[in-house]
Amino acid sequence: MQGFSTTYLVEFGHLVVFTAFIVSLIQALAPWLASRFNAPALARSGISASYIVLILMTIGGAILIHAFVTSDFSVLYVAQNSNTQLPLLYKVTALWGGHEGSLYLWAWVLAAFTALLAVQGKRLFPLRLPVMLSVQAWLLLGFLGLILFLSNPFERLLPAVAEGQDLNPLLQDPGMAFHPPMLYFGYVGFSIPFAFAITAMLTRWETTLWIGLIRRWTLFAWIMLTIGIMLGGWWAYYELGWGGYWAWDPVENASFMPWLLGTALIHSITVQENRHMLQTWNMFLAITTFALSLLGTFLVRSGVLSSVHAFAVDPGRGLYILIFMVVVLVVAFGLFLAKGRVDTERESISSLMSREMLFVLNNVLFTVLCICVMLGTLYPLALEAINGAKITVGAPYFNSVLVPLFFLVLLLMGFGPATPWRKANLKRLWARLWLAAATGVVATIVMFSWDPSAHWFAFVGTGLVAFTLMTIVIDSWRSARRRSKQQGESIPVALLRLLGRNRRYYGGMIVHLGILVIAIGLIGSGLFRSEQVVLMAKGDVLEIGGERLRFEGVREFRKDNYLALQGRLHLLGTDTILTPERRKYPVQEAPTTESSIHENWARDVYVIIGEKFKDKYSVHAYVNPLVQWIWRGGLIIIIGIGWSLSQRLRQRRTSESSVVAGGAGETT
Amino acid sequence: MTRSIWWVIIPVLVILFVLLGYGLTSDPRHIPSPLIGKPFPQLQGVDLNGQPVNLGLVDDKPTIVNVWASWCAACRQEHEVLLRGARRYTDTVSLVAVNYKDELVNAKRWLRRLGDPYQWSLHDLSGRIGIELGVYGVPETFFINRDGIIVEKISAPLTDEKLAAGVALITP
Amino acid sequence: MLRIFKWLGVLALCSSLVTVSASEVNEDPLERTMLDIAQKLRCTVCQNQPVSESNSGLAKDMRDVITDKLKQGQTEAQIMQFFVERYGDYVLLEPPRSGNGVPLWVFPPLVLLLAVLVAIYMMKSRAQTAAPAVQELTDEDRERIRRAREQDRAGDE
Repeated sequence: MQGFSTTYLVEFGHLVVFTAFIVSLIQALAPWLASRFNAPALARSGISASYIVLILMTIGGAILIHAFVTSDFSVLYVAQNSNTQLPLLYKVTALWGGHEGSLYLWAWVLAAFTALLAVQGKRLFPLRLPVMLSVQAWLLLGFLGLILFLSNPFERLLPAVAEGQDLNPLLQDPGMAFHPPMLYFGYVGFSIPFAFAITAMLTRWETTLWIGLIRRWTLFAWIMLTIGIMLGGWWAYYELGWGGYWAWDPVENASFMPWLLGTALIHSITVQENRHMLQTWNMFLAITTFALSLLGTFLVRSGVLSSVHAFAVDPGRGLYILIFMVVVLVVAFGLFLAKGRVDTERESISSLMSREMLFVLNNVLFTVLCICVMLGTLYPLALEAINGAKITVGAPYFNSVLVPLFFLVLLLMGFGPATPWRKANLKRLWARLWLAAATGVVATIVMFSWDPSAHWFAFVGTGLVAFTLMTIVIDSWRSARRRSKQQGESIPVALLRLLGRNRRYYGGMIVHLGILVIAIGLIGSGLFRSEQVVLMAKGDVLEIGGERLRFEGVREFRKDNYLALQGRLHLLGTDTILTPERRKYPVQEAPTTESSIHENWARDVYVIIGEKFKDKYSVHAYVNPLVQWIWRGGLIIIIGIGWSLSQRLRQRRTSESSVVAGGAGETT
Repeated sequence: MTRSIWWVIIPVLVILFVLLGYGLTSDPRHIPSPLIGKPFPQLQGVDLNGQPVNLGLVDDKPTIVNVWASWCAACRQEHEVLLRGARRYTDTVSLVAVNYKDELVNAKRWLRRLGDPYQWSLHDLSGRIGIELGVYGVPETFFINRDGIIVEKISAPLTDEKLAAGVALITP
Repeated sequence: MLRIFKWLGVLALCSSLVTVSASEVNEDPLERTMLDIAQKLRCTVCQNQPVSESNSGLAKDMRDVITDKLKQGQTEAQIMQFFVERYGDYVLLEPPRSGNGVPLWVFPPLVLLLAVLVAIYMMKSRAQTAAPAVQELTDEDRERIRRAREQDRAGDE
């Protein structure tokens, strides 16, 4: 592009986003305009509009990234979040390092998913697509409005500074590069079920016809959110140097609440597809899950709650987001209360002891979990509003209250697949479960005899994990054996065939396995961690958690954009030298600690170096048993979802005909 | 969907919105002090010149205790207010200070350059006196009435209005 | 040749002795107790961090104060009380189980109970009467099943 001046590229970017705002407005109004002016073709303009908006947002995003990559410090946002010394990867990821840029990413992803929805909808639900796109457009308008009027990433800094302030050193990490985008894919992904629900209520669209369609979107949004949350925990573990991965910080809770309801939604969709029940639950969950995504956005950016993660405080933005959220929720819940029953419930619970009932309890349990998280997060604010008192609701509270609830979830996870639909015969149920129950009891006893002084969470948790694990094993075994008898295959082959033919179900079982693996990791690292803080001189040996560390001295060196003091500790019995560092970044002047970790499947040895006292250094060491199981469990979950999503649909029909889409031909 | 759900969802939403709206107006970092209404603790130390001093009611007059440091930008903001206040209320109240976690040299230089409104400043290098007073940031100001009770604690830079209001509280 | 091995052996023995006799450091139990207490206190100038983990000046001072008080022989309860008197309940990382914290501890089990009861009630009130009786399979049914399975198997190959 010779002769194309980049002087005003940034202003062009701003103009592009403004244009996107206008086009989105058209997309939002398209159905109404079409009916008002009796021009049906106008309704379809929403589809082209969504493509155009995506292109415009991409251009704007590219311009911002270009500004970062070329270190254009005449752009205020770039000057605040980047630096010429920054490695290239982080110059790009700095785009979402601060409030304005991450908000832009949110809107960009929303535009992308909307366009995707348009592509899917053209084929599967062309009649209602304009309304759906309109819903999405209203949401996007809210975000674009915030970006254009209160959080402009294209704002100039004149005169430009020679050097930027640098990206927060904590964010200069590969985990950080992907954590926000994954989270946003999750948050924005849940806008799709939301749009379906709203459209269904506005256009009297029977839930049965579209519930199969949102299944994949919901799974996708859920796995993205899961990855985002896990990356956050993983990053916190490796980066922040306190040996932990989850602190029940308000911003963490803000991402956890939609995750909880999203999990309930996934299960609830399954029930609806199988038994044509729980339509109202699904509407409620679809709306509320996305509502919590918005709430999360509000909490993080408004300064209402004090949190390690919170963006720079600005009550003006907070007010805007609050009003936006109020409008969206009032409209959504108003519709829900007025028109929530788009279809008559065809089926109902025939027996309290049935899989349907367990799914209902599952929904209830996750909703209660979500309420408890919200209670703990917002209670300090409420208390202050009522009598001015201030208290802290920290990690110990959340652990005490939520872990028992999660134990109930584990119990359901074990019972659920074993319990038949409609009505369970208790004797047969016991015949299926007694072995698993016995395994659970044995596991509890073993754990107790191994360490009677442990917290009771360890005993109950181990028992439940063993129980549920056994139910999965037994269930798979029984199904494989049944099939091998019928088809004349050997049991391993039968099992593989089952896995392949019933991907949804077994994908789900794999996800449950992943959850159990994570649970084991949580029990190990949460309840059996060893920690010591000691002063060490060269040659000193520290014994901790069955491991021995010998201090070999320190080294100082300069690298990239920081100055480092590195401690060297030999993990006796291995060849490993652990090298925790204290780094000083000259630009931001906030020193950081880099932990050094030796991992294997059984435990992590986690070391941090502190300050010098006379001729000794302060060393903070942890031994975290089984913590790697948490990250491995996350991988298993991803595999499970992938497997589940790969289920080939046997029938492809438009969901607006009277034939039920997707549901037929897919059995559990 | 029974009508009864209305009674749950609507109040929940309303409470949530009102709460969050309130949250926008409150400062999440401000902590109310439990010392208000309690007698000022008996604390001893040395001032910037090395003389032993007792922190509490000074000269049997209602007392204002200001916590400051030379490294604190906001303290510079309120310093003018204190200088004026010292002159205006010189007969009615005593004005003393705690110099919080500051090098002696820096503290003295700061007072020399900007003026010293205080009768004396207790030198709290370690910050222990601050902890005894529940200090969590600078500047903070305590207002003690004639009975030795802490009537008010302001955890923000003073203004003329706030100072006047505080003085009014401790001088009946 | 063997001599080299002998000296190597002596060297190995000596170095292993050196390893054993190098100082084994142990955590100062006072420091551990201090950290355990600090773990329960919230750093008042930080965002949601316990005093044991924070690098802020106030947190360091608080840890020093705890250490001093432990040396004076004070108990954990006394030390916690000391901070609560000066900073309020806010300084406790876990909300108090009495007074202002009561709703926090009471609501969760209450909500759970309520939710389960409501769910059961709502499900029951919409329940059909007894589920349709399960009929035995007829021979016709069995034939249909057998044929369907064969088709299935044929479809697999």
